[in-house]
Amino acid sequence: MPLSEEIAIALRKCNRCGFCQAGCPIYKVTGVEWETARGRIELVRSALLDHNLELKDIDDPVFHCLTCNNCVEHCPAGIQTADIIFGAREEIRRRQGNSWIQKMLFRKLLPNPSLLHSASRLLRLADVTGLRSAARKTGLTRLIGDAGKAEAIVPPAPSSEGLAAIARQVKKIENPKHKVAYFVGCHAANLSPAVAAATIRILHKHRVDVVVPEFVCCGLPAAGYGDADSARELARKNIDTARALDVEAIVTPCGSCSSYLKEYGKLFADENEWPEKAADFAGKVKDLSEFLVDIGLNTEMSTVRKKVTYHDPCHLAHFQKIREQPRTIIKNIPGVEFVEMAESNMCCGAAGSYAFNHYDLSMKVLERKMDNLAKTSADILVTNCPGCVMQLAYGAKKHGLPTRTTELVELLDLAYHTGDDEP
Amino acid sequence: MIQQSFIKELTGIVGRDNILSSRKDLLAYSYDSTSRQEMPEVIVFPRSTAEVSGVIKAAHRDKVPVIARGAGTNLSGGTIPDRGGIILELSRMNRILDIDTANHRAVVQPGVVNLDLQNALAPFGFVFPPDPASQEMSTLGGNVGENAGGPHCLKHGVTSKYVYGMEVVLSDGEVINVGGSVEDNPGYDLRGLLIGSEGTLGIATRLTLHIIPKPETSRTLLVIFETLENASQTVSDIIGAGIIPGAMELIDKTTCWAIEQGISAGYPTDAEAVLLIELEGLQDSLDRQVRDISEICQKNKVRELRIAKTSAEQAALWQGRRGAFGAIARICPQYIVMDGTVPRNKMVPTIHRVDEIAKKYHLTIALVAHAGDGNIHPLILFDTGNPEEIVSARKAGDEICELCSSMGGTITGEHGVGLEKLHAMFTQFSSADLSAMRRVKEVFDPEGILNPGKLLPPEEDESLHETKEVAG
Ligand SMILES: Cc1cc2nc3c(=O)[nH]c(=O)nc-3n(C[C@H](O)[C@H](O)[C@H](O)COP(=O)(O)OP(=O)(O)OC[C@H]3O[C@@H](n4cnc5c(N)ncnc54)[C@H](O)[C@@H]3O)c2cc1C
Ligand code: SF4
Ligand code: SF4
Repeated sequence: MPLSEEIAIALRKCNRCGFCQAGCPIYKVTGVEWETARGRIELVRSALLDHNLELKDIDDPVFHCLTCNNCVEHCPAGIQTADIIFGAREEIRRRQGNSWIQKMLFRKLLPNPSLLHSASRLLRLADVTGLRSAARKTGLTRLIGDAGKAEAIVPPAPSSEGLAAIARQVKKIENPKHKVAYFVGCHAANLSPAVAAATIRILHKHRVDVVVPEFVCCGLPAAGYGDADSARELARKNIDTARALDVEAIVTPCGSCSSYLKEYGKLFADENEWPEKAADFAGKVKDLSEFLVDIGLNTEMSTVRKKVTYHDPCHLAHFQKIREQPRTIIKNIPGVEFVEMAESNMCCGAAGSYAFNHYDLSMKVLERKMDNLAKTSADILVTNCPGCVMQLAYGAKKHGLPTRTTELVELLDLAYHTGDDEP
Repeated sequence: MIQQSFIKELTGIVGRDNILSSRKDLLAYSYDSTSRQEMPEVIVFPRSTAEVSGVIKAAHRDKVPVIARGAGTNLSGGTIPDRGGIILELSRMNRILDIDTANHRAVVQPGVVNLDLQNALAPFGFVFPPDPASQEMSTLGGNVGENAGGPHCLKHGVTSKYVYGMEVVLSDGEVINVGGSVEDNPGYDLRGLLIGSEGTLGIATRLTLHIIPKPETSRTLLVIFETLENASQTVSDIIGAGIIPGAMELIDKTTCWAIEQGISAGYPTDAEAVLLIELEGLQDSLDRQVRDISEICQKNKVRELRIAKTSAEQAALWQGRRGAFGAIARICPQYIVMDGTVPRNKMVPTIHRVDEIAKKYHLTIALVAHAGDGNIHPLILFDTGNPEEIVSARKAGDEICELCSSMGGTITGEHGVGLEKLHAMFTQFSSADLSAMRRVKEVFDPEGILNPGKLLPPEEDESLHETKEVAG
């Protein structure tokens, strides 16, 4: 049987109670049954197990899913929707093959930080030379469909020197209390070096000795696309890199990275020593907010007199159940007035490359988020996933909201340094 | 079989974005929360009364079945399109039109989810009392369609008590208003007739609901017993003492265990039965009620009485109760939920007989009950991969219906008849009773297009059943 036994069992476990509807952002904006976990499961099972539906018919149900796992919070049977969807995508890709561009991205660029860095330099070059705006003006972006429409979501790429430059910011700590490896992640390394710098400063502030190993992409984008082989290959590289290190934890401020790194244990069901090595690795991973609260947050901070609200990234709230730690950190900043946003744990619609493939659906989900944000009248919207930051910042601009979107580490870094200045 | 030209006509009415008919679409609307499955022919998503009326007119002309659907969470096969036709999906008519606290009234479209209304009412300090365990996802139109109840209906009563009036599309597409915006209206109570009619008499397109101020405060008690008898006696004694809790739920050991496997809600997994009691009202009176109830519990050899200390504990207990049916899926993915109601003093003998039925068919039957009303939900677990077990489960279900009826109760308290309890209708009603109902259906839906085959068992099957004697 092609589909893993575990997923086949999960597919048969759904009892059609329908509770998952209550959590599904896509169902809430479409009202279509096959956009709920119940519907997706029904159709995936029909196509892959019962063979009374063709594979091509489940494309939309499978690829419209945000894999946000909000439904899981409502499912009394504990069915892990994202696992099922990833499994189904893998199966679809296995039978249909990957496109060259995906192969290029997942098999060539992501496993190689310096190549990836060159690629992102190209993106920046396009900005500098005005190629992007030229493409926009000539309507070229429109021609490439949804990816074209979504182009505006990606902010201009800043200049970045890649991982090596980030590693150079690490200082020697006197009497360190802890030692960690910082998993920088593709986004911070190539598109937002400021986040990486802030992360290192914050760790230093806690007397944590930091190393920046040559980790590659965590593998989540490949797995989300259905290219599980590439994801496993990336995981192997990271696991091997970590084995050479003597650290107590592997930390990252990116909610998506920490979540997928923690799932490495699930990736190698039956490959001799890998399951154990992967579980070892996964056991060391901590989201930065989780790590800071665990070791005791340094509360020597300057005042930030702002109204702040928080958006829960799915990969923190639903996959890792990390909800309190980021809030604890925000509430500890003197001067901050924290306001809770309605449906704060509902996906923003970014979901990896979702916005690029399903722009219109993604925008409907974002619109609901922006309605909720507007009601908080917050000055700053904090979150801790680069995908969410991009999407939310784009949403605020699109909907004309004055709220600024920022990474949790950037806000915290500000509090440790200058205080009230604009972050 | 409907034709392409008919689908085209419907597309003209609701627009291209509001109609689905591919194979995957039909499959997704082929089921509800039972284990049944039949294919519809087209799904439409009307957004207004006019669109509903347009669709019904076309269906009426061509005699095509129309099945109204909200969230599709009914437990009776009520939205199974077993004769094909149109699924009229109301999920896109989901606007709250008015909240009028001065007159204790809310006006909503039928696709509004029960909990979404509760959330909208909360800032005003109001609630809509019917709170089915499915309130997170079931729609108010579906609640009206099934005359849904919930744990808190013990004190406040079921959905029919909270609908002032409705706008309804009849089977020929005509739009009428029934009831009004106050409690009592002159003329026939068509409102009462339509509530719980399971989409067989008309389609509700706007609901005027009765909302009430939220009780000042509430207290949740978890009471743990070694025997079912003790738990049940406690229920009778509490009500006998004149205390009417907001809710009083009985949960058996199997179900407690299942709940705790899913979420840690705080239920014991080794006690024969627990009662989940919610008291609501004024602070002072609650203290007194808690005292009285603990005395009654002591007298009935309670093992432990816990009072939820925080609102989080309270919420966890209720989340566990509401998730009970789904949690059973952990033990066994498929089950039939029974929904009989028996007089309170017959609850214990009924539950013992249910146990005997389980043994007889070698099945596991879990149990939760709205104990205060004597509404029991035995959950018959079976394996869909085992044809013999499916047959046994259905037989056990029929026997439980007969049992409830013979105990002087009813075959369904709140989940409706649908397809699931069709034949049990013969146990509950005489042929004269049923024939009066058929005549009502005739008047409202002479062509038989509205959810055909549901609620009323076919006349020709009557000879297969011993019908109830005409009451003398
Ligand atoms: C886990 C679980 C727990 C449940 N707990 C309870 C409970 O505590 N109490 C309870 O009473 N029920 C309960 N139910 C059953 C179910 O949720 C209720 O019957 C609910 O009212 C159905 O709402 P729905 O929106 O899903 O309606 P649907 O299932 O879509 O429809 C139900 C019926 O109403 C008709 N209908 C729908 N909309 C309209 C309309 N606008 N006009 C006319 N007819 C219409 C349909 O044709 C159908 O006959 C539970 C179900 C589940 C799965
Ligand atoms: S993972 Fe998210 S988008 Fe997918 S079915 Fe669940 S709630 Fe809906
Ligand atoms: S909540 Fe879980 S068991 Fe219930 S229908 Fe959804 S996926 Fe299936």
